[in-house]
Amino acid sequence: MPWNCKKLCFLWLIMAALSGLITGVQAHPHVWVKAQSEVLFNSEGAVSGLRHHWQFDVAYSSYAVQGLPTDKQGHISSQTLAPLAEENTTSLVEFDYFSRVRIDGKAQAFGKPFDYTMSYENGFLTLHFTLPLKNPTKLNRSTVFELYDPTYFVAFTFVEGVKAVQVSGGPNGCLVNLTRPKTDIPAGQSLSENVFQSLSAQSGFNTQFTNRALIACP
Amino acid sequence: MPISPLSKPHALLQRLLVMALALLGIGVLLYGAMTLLGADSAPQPSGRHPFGTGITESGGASHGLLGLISDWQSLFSRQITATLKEITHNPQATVWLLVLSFVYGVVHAAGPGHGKAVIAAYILASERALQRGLIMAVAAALLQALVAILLVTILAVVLRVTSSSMTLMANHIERLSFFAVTAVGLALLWKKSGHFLALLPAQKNDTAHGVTPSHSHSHSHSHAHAGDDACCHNHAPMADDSASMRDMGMAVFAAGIRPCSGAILVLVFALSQKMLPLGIIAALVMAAGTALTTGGLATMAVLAKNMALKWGGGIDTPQSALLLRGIEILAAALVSLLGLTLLITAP
Repeated sequence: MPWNCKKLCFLWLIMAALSGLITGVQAHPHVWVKAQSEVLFNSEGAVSGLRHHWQFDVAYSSYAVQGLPTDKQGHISSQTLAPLAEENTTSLVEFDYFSRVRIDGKAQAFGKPFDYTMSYENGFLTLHFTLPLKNPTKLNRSTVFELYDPTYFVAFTFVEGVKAVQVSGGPNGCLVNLTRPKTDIPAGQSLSENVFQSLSAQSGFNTQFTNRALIACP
Repeated sequence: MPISPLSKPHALLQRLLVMALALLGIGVLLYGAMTLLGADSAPQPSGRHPFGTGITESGGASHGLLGLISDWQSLFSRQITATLKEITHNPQATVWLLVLSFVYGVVHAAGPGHGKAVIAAYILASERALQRGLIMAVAAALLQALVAILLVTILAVVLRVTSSSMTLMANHIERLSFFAVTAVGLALLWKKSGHFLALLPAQKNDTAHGVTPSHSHSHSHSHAHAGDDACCHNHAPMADDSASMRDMGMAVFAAGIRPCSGAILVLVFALSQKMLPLGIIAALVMAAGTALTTGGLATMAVLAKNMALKWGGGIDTPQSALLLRGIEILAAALVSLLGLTLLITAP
């Protein structure tokens, strides 16, 4: 028993203790998605669904497109990506498409997604799909749309700016109020002091990872 | 060891009862500990994660110490990809890559699937010297890195498969690891229950030879010697070393065969940037960090056990022998429970 290196052992113990439980069940996000969504209204003025545009981070994009044929410039056609788009979209059902919609406080159910495609641009893979509500519903007061992965394997964040969630086909004058998760780590951040800055800013004990859009229409 | 014919089924039942109690006890303990440390108890959706790499690593903490660790891990893993990109026009960033990879390995080992439980419990439960535990920690971490490297190299480079095939393959390997963990845990639990039971009659009366069937090979050998004074010099080396090497190998296999999802992503990304060798080095450096954490945990486990024994009144008392066996049984139960949980909940 190497008791002779007590200090080393102690330091070792501190590091090990820092890593938590023996069966630590907590992990961290492995995939980051920049999300942009549209809240769709039908001709009767009822909320009919969502249209999602999810841009994956560069590491996951590389993983997802491996083995697929590219042209000389490294582009991958949407036709080539079609099976991947279908596979990804249809497998989302068990996770409720990471989306939650409440109209006037009532939770809404989703139908089957359609119009799904994937595009690959500059190393980023983006998934586009339409997610209909099972029953289009008119809103009296407000609609709340939430986007998050409860397992936190994927870290969703609305893109910057007010256009992150838009109303499509709805009445004029709808107001959209956006809330993004507090732990937003910018993608592709290069080496700089920002790393250490973000380290201290990041150490929030309360991590909220829900993106929320509150839509109120006249 | 003389065993009366009538006592055999009775002994088996006793053993199974001890095993069941140990599993229950450790289950309760774990639940309490997890709640204290801030683990999320929200129900998780079943099924394979649609954007996963075949390795299930889910369940982000939203608060507490684990939430903090979660944030740090995210930060490091994103920095690794960013740094890989940076290296294309700034080769000096390679040093930073190695530092990041190492620290990521250290912190990431806090998450599931890095063999901590198996190795720590194995060392705790099997009287091996600490050095063996550290060797096992290094071997398991190395194996993990190698599996990730081989997976990516063979599938992506040689066979050029698509992501769905790689995900499927990784998923199969992961399931294999869950079986291995469960098998190692249950085998250990079986052995330890036997030891525990062997001690009990010795406490009550003078006949030290319990009614446990001599299932374990080398252990029963050393027991027979120490049986009469009921102290069981449990730190005696194994009589049969080849069996123990096999046991150690199994534990290393169980702990290490499951590659780390983060390593797979880094490797595939490095490949896409035409920097696979660098990705391989990063994965190995990550393994070094993981080995540090896992080894550290094994050290903690052994020290805790020794401390508990000292409090129990030294090594050579009947009480400490019982305590020792009790700790060992709980360790084995922990691994078994872990393996069973993984098997049951694995998508």
